Order: sequence, then structure tokens, then C-alpha cells
Amino acid sequence: MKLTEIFAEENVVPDVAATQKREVITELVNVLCESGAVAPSAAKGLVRALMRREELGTTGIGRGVAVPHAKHSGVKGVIGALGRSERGVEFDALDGQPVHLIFLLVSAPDAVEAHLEAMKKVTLLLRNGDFCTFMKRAKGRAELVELLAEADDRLPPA
Amino acid sequence: MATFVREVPLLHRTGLHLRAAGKFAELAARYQCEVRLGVAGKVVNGKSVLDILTLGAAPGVNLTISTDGPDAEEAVRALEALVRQNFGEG
Repeated sequence: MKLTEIFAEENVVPDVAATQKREVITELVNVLCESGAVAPSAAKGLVRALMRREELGTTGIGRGVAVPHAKHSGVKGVIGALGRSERGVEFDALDGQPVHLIFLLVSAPDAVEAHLEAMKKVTLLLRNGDFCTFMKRAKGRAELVELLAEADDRLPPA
Repeated sequence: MATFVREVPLLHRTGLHLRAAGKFAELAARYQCEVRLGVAGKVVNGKSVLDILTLGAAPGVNLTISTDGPDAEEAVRALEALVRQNFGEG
């Protein structure tokens, strides 16, 4: 499973409008609905599930990155939406800093290993300071997708 | 000072996911000793949530906890218990 498969091009948003946690989660869920990755009727429930997960502890894991996630029976395996914000989103991150990259993950309830694998890929990317910096500076969707593809090629295999 | 190593099966049904990794790192950070966590030969800093997540540890794998430093024995015991109790998540 590659980052470019999890975060399909149509689900990459180079400049999210939202500046707050709930807003950005809603915005990215709407993107998943518009692209057909998730049924529009599931949007509300999915936002609620993602927010409930945030209440258990923030998924803003530092370095300007958040990984909001939830299970949803309407998807197969794992799908994701990637949002990038130049000005930053308030996310109650562990380090108190606004987040600039939001990797939102939705997993099928039985996709335990796929979820762990997706999280592993995102954290490997995140630990590579160069990728993080380049993604924050990327000029648009195409550049972000290119960076995901480059990470797929260069990050250590599973 | 001594090094303590424990191999513990990860039985938690959702594996070493973000919250579980957070609990492990948080507990590890309470001790002065160094804490390393390994899976299948890959070893990371057990006090870093991010490092732990890069292991992608799925249910059924064996975790190797190793501690080294003044309170290493107490730390390894507490961390092993946390894993065996499925991170308090039942």
C-alpha cells in the first residue's frame, strides 16, 4: 500500500480554507464525499466519529502534522485525504503548535493492519524533516502528490 | 546500572496504534533510563510516540522492550505490564 494510493490525487487539498479542528475535519470529509470515496450520507457520522476520537486525545502529533482517524464500515481498507494549510490550523497539537499538514485516515473496521501500516507510512514521512518541509512549501496539488510519490520510492519499505 | 530486556507478545486487538503508543511513550518518559522498543529487529526510541508508530506493530508480533539506566528494572517491569494489560484498553 502506497501513500499515493491512500491519498488519491482528488483527495489532496493544497490549501484548506479551515483554521479550526472541526472545520478542517469537516472540509476533508466533504472532499472524500465529493470524490466518491465516501457516501455523502455518511459525512455527518464520519465527522462525529473523527471528533470523538479527538476527544480521547489529540491526533496533532507534533511537527505541524495531525493524523485524525476513524473507522467507517463504508470503506474498504484505508482511504485518506490530505489537507495542507499555509497559515496553519488550530488542532490542540501535543507541541501546542498549529498544524500545516493534515493526514485524515478512514479505515474499515476490520482493517487493523492496514491502518497501522498507513500510520507507519505517515510517521516515517513525518520523521523525515525534508519531506515535511517540502510538503509545507509545495506550490500546489501536483507538487504534493509528487512528494507523496517520492516518499513511496525513498522511504524504507514495510 | 544494568540492561533489562523483555520480549512481550502484542495481543492487543488493534495493535500498537496512536493512543497505545502514546501511553507507552508517556510511561517510558517517567523513567530516567533509556527505553528502546523493537519489533522484528527494528529498534526505536521507546519514549517517542512517532518512533513507536514507525514500527507499525500489528497484533500478534513480539515486542522487545529494553531498558538501560538507574531505574531500568522498574521501568521494564512497568512497561511490560502495560503491554500485557493491553494498554488499559481491554
